[in-house]
Amino acid sequence: MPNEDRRRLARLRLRARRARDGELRRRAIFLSLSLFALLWVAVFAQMVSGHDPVLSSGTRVAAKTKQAARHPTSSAQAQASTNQDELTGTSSTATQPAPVTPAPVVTSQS
Amino acid sequence: MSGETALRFGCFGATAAVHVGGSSPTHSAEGAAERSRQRLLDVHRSLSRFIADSELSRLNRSPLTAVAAGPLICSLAGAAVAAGRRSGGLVDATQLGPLERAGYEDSMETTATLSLELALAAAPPRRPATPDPQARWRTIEVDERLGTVSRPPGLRLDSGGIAKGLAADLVAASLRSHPTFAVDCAGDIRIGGAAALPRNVLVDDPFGGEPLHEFEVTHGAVATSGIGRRAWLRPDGSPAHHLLDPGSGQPAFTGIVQVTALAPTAQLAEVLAKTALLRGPQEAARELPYGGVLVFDDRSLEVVRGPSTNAAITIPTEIMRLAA
Repeated sequence: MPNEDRRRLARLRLRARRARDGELRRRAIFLSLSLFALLWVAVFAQMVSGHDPVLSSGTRVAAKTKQAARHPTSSAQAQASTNQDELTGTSSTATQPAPVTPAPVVTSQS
Repeated sequence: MSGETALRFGCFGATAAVHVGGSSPTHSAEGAAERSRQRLLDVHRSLSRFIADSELSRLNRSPLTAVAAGPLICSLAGAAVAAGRRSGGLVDATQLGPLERAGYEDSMETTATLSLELALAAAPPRRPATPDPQARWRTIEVDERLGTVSRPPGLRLDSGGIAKGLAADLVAASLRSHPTFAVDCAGDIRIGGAAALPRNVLVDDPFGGEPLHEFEVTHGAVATSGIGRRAWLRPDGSPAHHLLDPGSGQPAFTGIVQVTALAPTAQLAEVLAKTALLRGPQEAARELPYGGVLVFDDRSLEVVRGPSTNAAITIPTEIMRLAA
């Protein structure tokens, strides 16, 4: 093969490689951007629909704490608890957090 | 574990307890609980009719009409008059003579007691109690300025449940700046605390079963009165207990064996519980304006609602136990 032909062939190969490299780079960038956009849309949709996973797990913990602090009550107990409004009517507002849970007490005849 | 400091000790012829949670600006929970214990024991020593040199015994022995009295005795005498007035004479602290004649002459801490079932089986027909027509509690006068209690010589006062309610309220006043507290004077319980946290109160079964009911109290008092714990058999074979019908001077069998009353103060809760028991099943619920629990001879249970509704509901004991 004449030398000039060899040079032309080399230039063509070089151009083809550059084109292939450029195409690969564009594909990589496109895929990355697409993936990012897809994930962002997914997270955005989750937030907009009101199902923030962080917030929802926090609510569950609060509810458990509340349940743990209160014994299950029967309907009669629920009725009786309405009586407490009168008893607590003159109570002072809490001024400091209590580090304790009041222990149950038993009332019996003596 | 609640984290509260709790002390249990013998007092008022039974077991008393103090629960204190958290420190106040001036006192630790431990220090406040111990001071409360000492205060309750002091009140017991002053107001017990079973201690010969107690202030109450000295007042009861005095031949004078007007007797010099300390603040505690003045409070007790004033509470006795208020109880008589509030109950229409049913809660009568001047029934000490009939009570002793019925057999309640000592603290009965070592006396063999009669079971509630046997006492009910041998009891006379049920009927509501009536006030003593003489209403001698009306003759008691208190002059707090002079520090005297006046009454006809020979009229003796029985501290009974009044002293327990008084003591619970007295000690509660000194604990109110702690986040949580409960003062349990052998069944008369005062509850409160600056943190305004609700506390569960279980109502004991007079027949010895599981607790019958549960209240949640943030600030207030609960008292239980009944005929079960201090019952005995008299020499003639008839059953007796410490709650007298003032009209007859005999132990009252009204058809109710135990009443638990809610109220803003332990003194009032104690009077309401006794009054409801003595009124009998037909009128007892009306005597519980803040709510409570009635237990009848047949072991059935009535939970009385508080001021928001006047209706009462009756639930058989077995169902209550199943629900629990």
